[in-house]
Amino acid sequence: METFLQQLINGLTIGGFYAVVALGYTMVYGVLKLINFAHGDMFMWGTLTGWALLTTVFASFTDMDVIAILAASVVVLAFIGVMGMTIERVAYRPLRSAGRLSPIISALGAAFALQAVARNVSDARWRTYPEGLLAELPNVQLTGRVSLSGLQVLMLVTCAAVMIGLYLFVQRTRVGTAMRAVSLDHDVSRLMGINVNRIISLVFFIGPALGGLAGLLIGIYYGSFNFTLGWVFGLKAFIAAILGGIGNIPGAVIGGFILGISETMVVAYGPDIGLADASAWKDAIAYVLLITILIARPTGILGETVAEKV
Amino acid sequence: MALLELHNINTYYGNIRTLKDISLKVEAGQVVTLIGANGAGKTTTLRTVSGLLRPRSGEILFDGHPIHRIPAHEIVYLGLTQAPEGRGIFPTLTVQENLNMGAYSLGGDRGAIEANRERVYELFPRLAERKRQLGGTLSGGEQQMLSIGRALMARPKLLMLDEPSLGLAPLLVRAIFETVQAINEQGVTVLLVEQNARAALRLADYGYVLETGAISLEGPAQELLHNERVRHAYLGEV
Amino acid sequence: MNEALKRLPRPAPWMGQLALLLFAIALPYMGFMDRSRTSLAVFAGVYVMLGLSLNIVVGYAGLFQLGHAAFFGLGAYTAAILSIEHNITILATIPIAALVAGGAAMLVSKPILHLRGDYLCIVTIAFGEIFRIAVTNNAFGITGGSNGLFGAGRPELPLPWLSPVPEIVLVLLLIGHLLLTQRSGPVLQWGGAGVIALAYFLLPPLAGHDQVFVISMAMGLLAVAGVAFLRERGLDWRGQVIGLLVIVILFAAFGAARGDQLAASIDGNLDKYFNVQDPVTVLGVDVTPVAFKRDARPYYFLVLGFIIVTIVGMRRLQNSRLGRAWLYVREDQLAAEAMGIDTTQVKLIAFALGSAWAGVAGVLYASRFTVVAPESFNFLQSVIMFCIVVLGGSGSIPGVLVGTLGMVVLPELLRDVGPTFLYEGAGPFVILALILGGHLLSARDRGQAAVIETGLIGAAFFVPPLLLGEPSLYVIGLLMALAMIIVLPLLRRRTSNALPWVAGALAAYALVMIVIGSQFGQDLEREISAFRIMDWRDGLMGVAMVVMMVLRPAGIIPERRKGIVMSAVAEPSGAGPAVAVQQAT
Ligand SMILES: Nc1ncnc2c1ncn2[C@@H]1O[C@H](COP(=O)(O)OP(=O)(O)OP(=O)(O)O)[C@@H](O)[C@H]1O
Ligand SMILES: [Mg+2]
Repeated sequence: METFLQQLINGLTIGGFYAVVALGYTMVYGVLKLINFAHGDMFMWGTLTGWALLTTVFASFTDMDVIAILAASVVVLAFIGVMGMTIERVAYRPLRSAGRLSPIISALGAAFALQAVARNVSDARWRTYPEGLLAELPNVQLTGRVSLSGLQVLMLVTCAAVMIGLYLFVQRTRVGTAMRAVSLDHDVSRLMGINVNRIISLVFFIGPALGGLAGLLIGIYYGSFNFTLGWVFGLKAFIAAILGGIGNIPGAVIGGFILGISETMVVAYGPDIGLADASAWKDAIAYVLLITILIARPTGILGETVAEKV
Repeated sequence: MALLELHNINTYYGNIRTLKDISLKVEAGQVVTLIGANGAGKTTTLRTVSGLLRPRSGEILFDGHPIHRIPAHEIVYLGLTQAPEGRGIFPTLTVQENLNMGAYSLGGDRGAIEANRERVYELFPRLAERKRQLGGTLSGGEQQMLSIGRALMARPKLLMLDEPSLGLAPLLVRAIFETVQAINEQGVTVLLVEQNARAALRLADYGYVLETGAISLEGPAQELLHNERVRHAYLGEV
Repeated sequence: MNEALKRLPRPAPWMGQLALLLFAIALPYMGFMDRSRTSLAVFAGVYVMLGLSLNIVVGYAGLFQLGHAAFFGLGAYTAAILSIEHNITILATIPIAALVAGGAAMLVSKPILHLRGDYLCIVTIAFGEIFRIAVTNNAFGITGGSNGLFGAGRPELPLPWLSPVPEIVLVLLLIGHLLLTQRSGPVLQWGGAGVIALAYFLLPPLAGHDQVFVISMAMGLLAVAGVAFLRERGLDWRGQVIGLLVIVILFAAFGAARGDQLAASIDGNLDKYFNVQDPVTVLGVDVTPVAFKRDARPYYFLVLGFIIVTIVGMRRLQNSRLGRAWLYVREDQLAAEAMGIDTTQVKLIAFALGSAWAGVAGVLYASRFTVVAPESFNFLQSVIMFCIVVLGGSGSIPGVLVGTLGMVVLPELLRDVGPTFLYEGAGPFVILALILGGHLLSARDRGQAAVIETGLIGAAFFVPPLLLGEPSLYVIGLLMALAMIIVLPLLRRRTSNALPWVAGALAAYALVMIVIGSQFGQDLEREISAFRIMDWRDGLMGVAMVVMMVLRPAGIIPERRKGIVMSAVAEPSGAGPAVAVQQAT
């Protein structure tokens, strides 16, 4: 029981990351009906930028790592956000009316380009974050042997704050409502006086910025990364978005947690149920989950059952 | 000077010329109707005026300003709104949110938005009862009310309606036309696209007949009502 | 275009195809083809097969398949396992591999085919990844884990220029000719057959060599082409006879004049590359086997043969009932259903057929490269296949060929290219020519402006090196030319006449160049020499993918049928379906 609780906490933490990255996919899919394959790599760029900042510019702040991390977060948010807007402007906007195949290629191309630059910037090596960041955060003891590390608490709180904040923004504010309107119908939105391009740019700022922030946090959490981090993680986050029902913010969150918890549980309990090398198969869990859920509910857990022409 | 003027507008879908040298005028304070068969180009005309389509040549003046090069969302700010064909309700937004989107161009001015909403609810009390309901769950007639109400939210000078009577029961059609009249009496100029030519011409001050993308006939609505060709082709009389 | 131009005789499409075929046959004997390049050609050939097979799924049926590498891999692993464990001749596993790949595709696609576009896309990625993870983890203990399987048997085939291969080719040529000329009258049909046989058997000896298959085959093909040319002239029988005679005379003259040199050079090449062993004969028929290890060329012809068969098959498929059904499903699924097409069934067939053919490509791959390992079948490979289809022009067969050149051949050739290529010798000019040509092509509707813009791009390229006399600045010139391509459309949208702006920008830029160049010319050269292009290959490919799609969203050689269907759909019944096609974002 205690291991179970411990694993649940671990799963929630990683699920929180999936959820935040999934938000970016889901928002972009909402407004453009496009799988933004470059999103995972922008997430990785968040990790990379954070690493670059914390090991160089902000390295002298090591005594005040909270301040260094806060400062790095701000830079990462702005930088990755602008990166997202630029990619939309250059690679997606010209293809807005070009059918569904060409944007997929364009998105994959953008992902390759981002990855290649990151590869050269990081010399294709594993890179490590400074040691002992936020080490002084107190652990939270739940029961006997179950505890949350301070870092986990921070991650969970940040992810929760991001998700709730975004949800409120989209549900309650004028611009957020306009975002939902744009994701339903571009033309009618324009008739309302909504500048659709600006809304899309905004989505491409917010989604990648939050993804970049998650990247920075995951860098701190795991301590090391390389330039391929974004691809697999991004793909899984996208799967999380689909699990929950794409285009749907609570869906992305639910999908992220389901995925994070399932992965942790399978790795933890796999050997007990005869899966000797469960961790080697860990990456396959997301895909199997995806296929099962889509066969059972073709539009995801919270997705509406809408008929759409392919 | 008329509120809206189109001069020799030509609009294309790809290489197909759909509007051929359309010229028309809408005088301030009037109801002007544009009638024509299916596929004549009525919707295309409205979409061109709204800026959703770009004319390849010609000029559109609204309130004296050329608007044919202005993006659609900016045209709204000048006081020109549209209830589009098929109503264009945002199905997963509530009635109230739909209305708020109609007032997007008013920015964050909550007082004005609130006041406009009250005005719309007065015009369509049914909407007030359902303001928390999702747009997609409204009946066809209610959706049409919402669509018109939403277009009024920006306090337009000119309201364009694309077939508001489509798919509605006769009784409801009457109600809608009466509302259009009421809106016009409150000082909003109306450009009404209709298949239901008789009702439209009875309501309107002036009418245009569109045939395969060109204006074939125009005149005061009363005259058109009695015009031989119109009676034959659009009023179903022999 | 003016009338006189239109009336000029246009080369018939078959001429282009024939030229391509001749080129493909001659390619491995050309001077620049060393062993690694021949090997690359084989590799590219396998990818052409993969592109063609994926084209069924993506191009014809409009299904988003981003996991095609899995079926390629299934074929390859099947072949490798059967040949290593069970000692089955590897090429004999082709039907089994096709069945395995096609059957697996049917099994996995059945429950997912109803999913809408993007969901299907992600599910196929999932299948591809599951496959990769499974083989990496040595599923069922038969895939060899992450190292893969070694030593898949290379097939032993007779040398292509020794009996009986040339005779088989001759028979195929004759059958093809007889079929082509069925309605052309006896003179052309049988007289032509005679000329082909003559060209095949008599002229190579006349050219001083009696064994060189390559000459025989080229001569035979040329003869087929010549006869086909006569057929299209619409001559009477006398004209036909004279035409045939002219062909014979031309051949004889060529054989006498140039033949021995040709033969000698081919001979030399053959000796150099093949090390012909003493022939082994059985009942007078030469069956000398050659271990394919030594040379990629026999594989090249094997793969070429498969490609030709595939292309012919694809064409027939395109125009069959099934092909039309795919077209309707792709353009408008609801309408297709209304027409009584069983859309699920039709999609399933596309999936199964495409995957089975990918399995065949897998066998060819395994037999040539003998190592079958997971990383050859990962997501990147699926993406490359997808790009081959879409970049080339979804649904278009020539598009697949061009796509393969761009996605497989070009990146590999970059490997040989040092950074100096960017500023030394003809390199920068080759790239410039490509840029200018591309721009002219994409801007040709704008008439004179296109020419002026092209000139501006050229100027952007030449300003830095000319002003500064520093050759390394050609690299800057290239960058500037590329920047110009991006800037021009933006300016064009802003102002009606962008040219003064561009000219002004160019002048300012030239000034900057003078300043920078005089300061940093040397450093720049050093920097550029340190540049390792392979590090950037994937990135360049990514940028190229974006740029290509933005410039030509429908692909380089778009499928021709598309327009026809679109207008057919758009024509009747009001706004409905037309809007659907347009807005299916
Ligand atoms: N997106 C489009 N692409 C191509 N052609 C279109 C498109 N939209 C409309 N058309 C064509 O333009 C013509 C005019 O269409 P339009 O919708 O303006 O007609 P309408 O008068 O509004 O007809 P209705 O009364 O049926 O609404 C029709 O022939 C239609 O097929
Ligand atoms: Mg209409």
